[in-house]
Amino acid sequence: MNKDLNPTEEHALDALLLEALGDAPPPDQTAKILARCHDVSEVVSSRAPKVVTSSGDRDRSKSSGWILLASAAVLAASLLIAFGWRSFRVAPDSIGAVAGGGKDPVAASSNEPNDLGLATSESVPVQKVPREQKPPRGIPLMVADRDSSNRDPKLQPENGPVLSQPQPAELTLVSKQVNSDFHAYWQAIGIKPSGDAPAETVVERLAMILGVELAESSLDDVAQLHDQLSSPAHANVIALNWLQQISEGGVANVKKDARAALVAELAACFQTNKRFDRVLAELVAGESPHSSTFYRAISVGSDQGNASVVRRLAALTMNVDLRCTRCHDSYIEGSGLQHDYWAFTALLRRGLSTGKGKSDPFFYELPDGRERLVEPLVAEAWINSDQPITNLRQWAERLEGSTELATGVVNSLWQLVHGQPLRGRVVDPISAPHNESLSRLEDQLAQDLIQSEFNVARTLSLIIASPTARQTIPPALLPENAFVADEADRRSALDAVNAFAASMPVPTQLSQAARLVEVSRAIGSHLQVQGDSLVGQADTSSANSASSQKSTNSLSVDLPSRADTLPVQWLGQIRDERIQIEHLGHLAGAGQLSSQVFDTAEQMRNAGVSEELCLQRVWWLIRR
Amino acid sequence: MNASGVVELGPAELIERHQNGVWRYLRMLGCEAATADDLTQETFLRVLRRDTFVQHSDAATSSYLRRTAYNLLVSHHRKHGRVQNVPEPSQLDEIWNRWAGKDLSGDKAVETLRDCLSALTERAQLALRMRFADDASRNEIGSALEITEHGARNLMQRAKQQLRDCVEAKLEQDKDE
Repeated sequence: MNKDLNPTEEHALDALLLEALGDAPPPDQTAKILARCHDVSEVVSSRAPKVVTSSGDRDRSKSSGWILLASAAVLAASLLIAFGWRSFRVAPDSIGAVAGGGKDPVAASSNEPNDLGLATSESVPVQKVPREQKPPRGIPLMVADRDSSNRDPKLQPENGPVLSQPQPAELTLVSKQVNSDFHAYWQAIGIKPSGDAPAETVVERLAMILGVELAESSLDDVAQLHDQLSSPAHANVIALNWLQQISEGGVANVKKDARAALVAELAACFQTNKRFDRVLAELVAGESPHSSTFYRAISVGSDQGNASVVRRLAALTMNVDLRCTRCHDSYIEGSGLQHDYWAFTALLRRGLSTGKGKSDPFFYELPDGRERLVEPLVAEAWINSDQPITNLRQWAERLEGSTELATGVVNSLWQLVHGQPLRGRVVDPISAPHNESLSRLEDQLAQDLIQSEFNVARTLSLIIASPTARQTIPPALLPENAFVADEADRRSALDAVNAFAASMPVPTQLSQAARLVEVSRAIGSHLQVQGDSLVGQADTSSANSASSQKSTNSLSVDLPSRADTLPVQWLGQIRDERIQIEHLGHLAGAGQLSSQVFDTAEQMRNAGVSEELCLQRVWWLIRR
Repeated sequence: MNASGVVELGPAELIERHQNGVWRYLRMLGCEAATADDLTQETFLRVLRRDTFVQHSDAATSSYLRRTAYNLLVSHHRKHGRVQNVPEPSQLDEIWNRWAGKDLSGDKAVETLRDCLSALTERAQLALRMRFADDASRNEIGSALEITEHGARNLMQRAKQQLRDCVEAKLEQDKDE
């Protein structure tokens, strides 16, 4: 016979050979499992821990991880969602099998689009998406190294059925633990914090970020901080800013009264009058009177159809990054399949649509152009469940008290304060170096949030009280040093910022049109606004050279002026510059970019700007 | 006995019956031994704490446990932001059923593998022992056998194919008996 071994067979055989030859039989863990089941004592594996050469320390400690699952929400009297989903093609009768498990019924391609349209019954300014638009085709992917030895044996217990909910630990103790863990994290990754800024500077910075004035004395007293954050006046402002962030500015497009009502609902959670998870679950399930406002806020965006809703909702409720999987499977973090993305989209569509077409079969386009049927489903890996979740209500119920939701909320609150989530993604240009310490911190905050019955003011106070919120801006990043700082110092300072060990100056608050002008000026071009267009012309006259030099001197301080690396290294795998820029657009959550962005990039390349600097500037142009 | 007329195993019996299978399944998915230990524990904890879990049959229980273990592993990788290629469960289930389907634990497959190893040439046995027992590199194996690294790789690949065929043939034979 001697047919070649396929990779899966080889893996499986290797595992058995390790046992047969290495004399490493499966251990008898009966006693340990029974002990844990009866909660007699926490036990760890009997094997000696293997030394990990990464920067993290291997810690076998386990947290208790008991979670209370709430019961199903009460149905609202009427579903007020005015959120239309366009209908899709009806599958030919011959197609009956459900996609999945390798048996994929692929429908014949037709001219009908498979994207989701966006329509509302009220005059809310929302981008209309033409029906002809389809998701972009697939591009070459980075595939994980099968032989990667980067395996982390540390195990955190997952969700499980609840027997009882432990009380949260005393706030001050948790705060001290977070502080200590962060110092351990910085030590583990070899980053030195820039040092504590004066209290008044920190308070001023937080006022700009959160919109609330905190007492300087509260920075050293987490309980006082919690009291301030949960006061009615502060809670309202914080809730609005949080909503602004998770909707990426979309909440501004919602009608004022509806917005105020939604903010008040969320503010009640910050005031600790309501459980945040319960309120979110009701909003998501369409069972809250504010659900339509919520969905309207998170649906506003520049990308196609309802992609914004899917992406933002997945990030908040399940801490899942779906920026890549709309168009292709994601292998960079192993975080998802395209099929999972569209299955979730189908679930939302079916749960939120009203009227005809909501039950029509749902298709999406594969990278090779074929179309594939998908059934509504939340991927089991996203919610760590072995029971399939196939409808919106089931999913919303599942969210209450869940670790996924807690982790998503923790990261959103962290991002509110620091501008980036606590645990970012490998695909991102900016994310804290990831190791076990960071994972542990994230888990700790998430579990504390769960145990405190989703007291978001408590979590926010822990974040603000942590040493990360009070670091100084490194000299290399100060605006006055923009053009004189050594590149190595600058890079080192940015590494510290990424690891929350230093602060950044307030970023440029410019519209994209203004940023386009800045970038053009940087290469000596001159953009004028003519009507609704920006018209560019090369500035070649010597009479203007002095003025263009002057213009360069007054360019935004965070506009990249030099770069020898790409914004993200995986861009180097993509050969076509246009596709590189498109990917930056998806990464920024901006979806389809305007032609002016591509034109500006071309102008930069024609002006001799390097690929790295060109793409860094494009990133500066389009990032939120 | 449950409503289906099946005599259900108690927790200790359930663990003893299925833990080897779950552990080996996790190892086949690429887990290190320590992670497989931990996830095996978690798998049983989840299942034992689930009120709705019913033991329809040994095979059904084994499948349910393996699926739970798979989900835990995927979640574990996701949680730690690791880049891992985890085989599709359907592919691995097919291999599992071929090799461990009869006794559900894989004990028979490992025993058969040991028998089949002894049928290989001495050079092949040495190469595999160096690779799996001593964690030697291909270079080291090549030097010991006085062949190139590439030659060592090919030798081990051929040996593994022979082992696969031998194990499957013997298991098939035992099934028929």
